[in-house]
Amino acid sequence: MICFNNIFKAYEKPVFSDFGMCLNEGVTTSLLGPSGGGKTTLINMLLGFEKPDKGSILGIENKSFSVVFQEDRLLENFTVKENIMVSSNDESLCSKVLELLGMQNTADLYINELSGGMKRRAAIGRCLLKNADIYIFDEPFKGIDEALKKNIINSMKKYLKGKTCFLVTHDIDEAILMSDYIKIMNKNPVEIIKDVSVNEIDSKFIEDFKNGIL
Amino acid sequence: MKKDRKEFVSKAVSVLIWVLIYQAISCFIGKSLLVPTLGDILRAFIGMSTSIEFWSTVFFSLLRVVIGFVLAVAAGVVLAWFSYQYNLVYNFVYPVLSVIKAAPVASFIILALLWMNSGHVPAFIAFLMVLPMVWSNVLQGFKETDYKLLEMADVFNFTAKRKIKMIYIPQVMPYFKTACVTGLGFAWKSGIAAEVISTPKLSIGRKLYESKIYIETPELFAWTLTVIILSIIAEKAFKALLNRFTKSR
Repeated sequence: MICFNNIFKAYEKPVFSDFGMCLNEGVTTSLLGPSGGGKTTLINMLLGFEKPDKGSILGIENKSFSVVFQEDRLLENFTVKENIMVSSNDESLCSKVLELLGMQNTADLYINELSGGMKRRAAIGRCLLKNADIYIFDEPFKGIDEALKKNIINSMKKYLKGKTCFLVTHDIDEAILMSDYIKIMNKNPVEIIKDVSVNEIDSKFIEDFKNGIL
Repeated sequence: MKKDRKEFVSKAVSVLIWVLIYQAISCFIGKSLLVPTLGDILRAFIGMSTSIEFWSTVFFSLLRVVIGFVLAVAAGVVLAWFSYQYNLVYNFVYPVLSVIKAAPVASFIILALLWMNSGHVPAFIAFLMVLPMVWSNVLQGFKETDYKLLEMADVFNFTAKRKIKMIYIPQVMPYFKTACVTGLGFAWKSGIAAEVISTPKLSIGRKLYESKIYIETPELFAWTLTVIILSIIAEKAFKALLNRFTKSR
């Protein structure tokens, strides 16, 4: 289990004050919450890019990560395939991932020739190709059209079965499609206010979330 | 294509107008010793360019400048990399390169004449003038490298070689190109100035100096014209070479 224990983090103002949250291994957990609530900061702390002022993150020692960042962070002067293959040299796996993302015909295009949604898919491809212990997705489906998004999520779910995944999103529908567990985070103070299995979620829960009641 | 042609015609007309203005001034003054006519300059240029000595002189001047320039580019890039990696190197190098940048080139030429053979002075001076330019530009490029891409590289376990090839080179290249193109012009000017003062054998600088001593003004202009033509050719050739090696999309 990966646990954020008693996390304190402040920039100009405090963001986390005694924050706690655990992620189960081998399943996909989604974190939903308002913008500016510190979701990306949690990811940065997991990856070691930022350190908590106080507190600790347990269960990540010697673990490898693969990430879809909030921004694409693709290499503009290289092709889709070259970008994806930075995470592995496995050509056949790369073809499989490209197929999963519907990008077989765009593999040789340069990044600056892609639309926003295609760039996002390329970033997902790079993440999936790496054989990691923990997969992190920060708003991964931003800009991808709805029909394609559903197909990609279903394929990703199969591909990542049994892996530890952490999805950060605003969209409860994609969280339900992709995850086993959903955590809802509040702002001011930052805390987890709901922690449920996807099986427990009913239409009232979704409606309440969309209406901002949760 | 049409736009390129229009641009070319516009530039050609501008050059022609300046040439005509020069010719008018020359005719107005009427003293070839002070302002030779275009005819005088062209005659001197053609006369010079048919001799083997002219081509040997051009070759050795070019060689001196190119040696100084290439060494400065190599040293500038290496120093910039270490200055970017280690603040200690930056603090160590910064004052020296700032002094070189600020001090008059003539001081260095005279000092260099005390330290080394006059034949080596032009290359050394070209090196000194280009080094700070390449260093500061390339260092700026390294500093501007997107840290988010570097974070991504860490997550995906990029090797140092891959990081340099896929992140640093594309990010630093525009700064490097600017430094090289500007530096090449500086190398020419400072290298020829060094030749004028150190007067090594088979050098354009020595020819310029002799033209001045013997009051051969058309030859002085013809050698200056040679330097300008060589500088333009060198810049174009270097840009083409850079574009070929760094074909970016």
